[in-house]
Amino acid sequence: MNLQEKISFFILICLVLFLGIGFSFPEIFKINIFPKKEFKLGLDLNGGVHFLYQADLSQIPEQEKKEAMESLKNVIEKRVNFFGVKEPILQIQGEKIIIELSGFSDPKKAIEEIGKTPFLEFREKKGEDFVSTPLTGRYLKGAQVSFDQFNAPAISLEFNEEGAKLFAEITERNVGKPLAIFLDGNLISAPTVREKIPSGKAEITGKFSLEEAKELARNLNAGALPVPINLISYQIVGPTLGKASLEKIVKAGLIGFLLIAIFMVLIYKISGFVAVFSLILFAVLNLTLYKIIPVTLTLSGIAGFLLSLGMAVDANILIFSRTKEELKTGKNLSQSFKEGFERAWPAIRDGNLTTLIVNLILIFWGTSFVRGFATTLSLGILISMFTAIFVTREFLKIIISPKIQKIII
Amino acid sequence: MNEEKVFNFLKFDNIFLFVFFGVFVFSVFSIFYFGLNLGLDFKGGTIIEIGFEKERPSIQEIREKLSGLNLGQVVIQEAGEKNVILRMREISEKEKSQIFEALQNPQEIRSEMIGPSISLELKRKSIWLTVFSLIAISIYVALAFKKVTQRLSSLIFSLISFLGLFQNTFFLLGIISVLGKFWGAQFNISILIAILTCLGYGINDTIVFFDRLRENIIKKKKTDFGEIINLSIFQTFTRQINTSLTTIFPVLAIFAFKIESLRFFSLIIALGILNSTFFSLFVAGSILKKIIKT
Repeated sequence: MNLQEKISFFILICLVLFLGIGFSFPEIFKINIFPKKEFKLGLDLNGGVHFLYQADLSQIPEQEKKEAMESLKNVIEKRVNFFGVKEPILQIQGEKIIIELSGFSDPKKAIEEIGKTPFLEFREKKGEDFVSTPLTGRYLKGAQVSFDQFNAPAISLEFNEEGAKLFAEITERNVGKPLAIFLDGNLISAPTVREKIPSGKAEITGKFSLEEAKELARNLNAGALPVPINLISYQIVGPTLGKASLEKIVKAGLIGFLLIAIFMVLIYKISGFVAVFSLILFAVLNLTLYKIIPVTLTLSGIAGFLLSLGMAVDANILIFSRTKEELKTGKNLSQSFKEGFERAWPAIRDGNLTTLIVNLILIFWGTSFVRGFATTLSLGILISMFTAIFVTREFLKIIISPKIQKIII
Repeated sequence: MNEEKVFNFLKFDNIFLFVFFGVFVFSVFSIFYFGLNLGLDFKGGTIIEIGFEKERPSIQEIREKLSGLNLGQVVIQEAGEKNVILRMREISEKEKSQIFEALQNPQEIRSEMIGPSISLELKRKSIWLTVFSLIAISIYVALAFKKVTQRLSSLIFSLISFLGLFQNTFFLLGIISVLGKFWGAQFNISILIAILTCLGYGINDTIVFFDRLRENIIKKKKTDFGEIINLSIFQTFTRQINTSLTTIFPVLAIFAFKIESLRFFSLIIALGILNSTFFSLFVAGSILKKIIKT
């Protein structure tokens, strides 16, 4: 390596480091060239809620199930948007629906708003019991507050075309019988049908206060749930816990890094120092990629990253140990380093490969905890192949000189 | 090559083997005796962590306040200075607000509920996860040791490394059963991942050792086989200790900061790495020596 190459390599690395740090932590530099994009934090660090609802599709014909799930998702999305959460995640998984609101600090309200969205249903009398009819909130066009003949608050409903047809059929076959209106499984009222109603309009009377009627109408308008849902699993992380966890894991990371750095410099002297420099570059590159891709950082994800810090220097340890051995056989410094890098390579490659293979399986198979961990660990392993081997080697080539032979390794 | 003084590790081969198998027997015993404390992921149920702003009521008081709610068995555990963790069957939203009311609306630190259908699904997923990971590691081991064949069948290397993986798995399950008995640790998906990670990472140490062994077999055809094993241990000793240490440093730092969801996870990874290092440093060679002699 001649002087010019040395300088250009040095400048290149510094540039990468500068860009990486600038991108990861734009607030450090006082120039406005870096996008102010924040790290995407998972709900265990940011606080928030994760709900898993099971939809009850037993009343829905097979070919309409997919559509019913889509409309369920749309309705819930409307509700969730009321909360002002930045990026709500809604995901349909078969007959289940996942709702994740990172950074949302009021789980009770969330559950109420999502879960208590009224499920409106008309039921007809069969013997002693009321049984479900196909007419539900799915077919609702609109709802508004009205007043009945006693001037008590009521809610008038208007069905869409399909709903009007259903309503006409149901009222026709139930003339003289009660038709019950159920909200979330509770009987609201059961007026007796006097005649077939073809207009698609109905009125719910009950003992509502004006406030209750208003809220109900608003909720029905925002979308009565097309199918009943049932909360089968949730995870709620309060904002204080998320913040405390983030602080702790960041501190743990810094201390872990310091321990590795001190250890490497003590054991491998200047080479160790170069390895630590590569490790800093490694960390910065990782953080930058988390923002660019972006990777949602969870506690387990950061743990995976920290573990990859430890594994990244493994490569350097294998290389330096081998180099020391080669030095003992009487080879010169650059020859020994060359052999060290070459001979340690198979072990480094194989070692990283096993961890990588297991991690890829975890990414495709896992739950969010597993995926968070495996994603950052795999990414770390891939990047470490570049920093711990290539960057360390080029850097050592620059500084190797017989003058400092005694302290170089 | 100038001759160095090589420490005779294999002098203690019987002790190494005794410790290795002793740990295995103890672990199996502990797993059956204490059982595994299955976590929410696999068993379903609810966990609620609440924080009291003023003084924290005693466990007895909390139990009394909740007794009217028909929640079934509730496990109550103090956490930190002002927090309490409640574990019970899966409960509805209504029952949850009843709990908060009964306790005069403490702060909700975190809560998690997993219904029976989900825990069943997670269990199934985890089994596949484990099976696929083990197959992947096995294929890797088989391929890696294809290269080692010189005087020995690669089968022996594969078998020995499997013995190590097998023992490490039981060792870590044993640890979790003891931690579960005395410190409330639960066997859940994160622990499973910790174990799989240790298996994937731990095999590397064994490969570093066998790799060197192969090199030495080729280089020094005349020396006694026991001496070659010992020399290989001696030569790879420092780097195996060092690679394990640097990986354990950040893991221990995580453990030290007491992050609830990563506490046992990090401990298991640290112990798993230590155990696999012990195996590849001392036990693998000792077993090899015994096999070759007989």
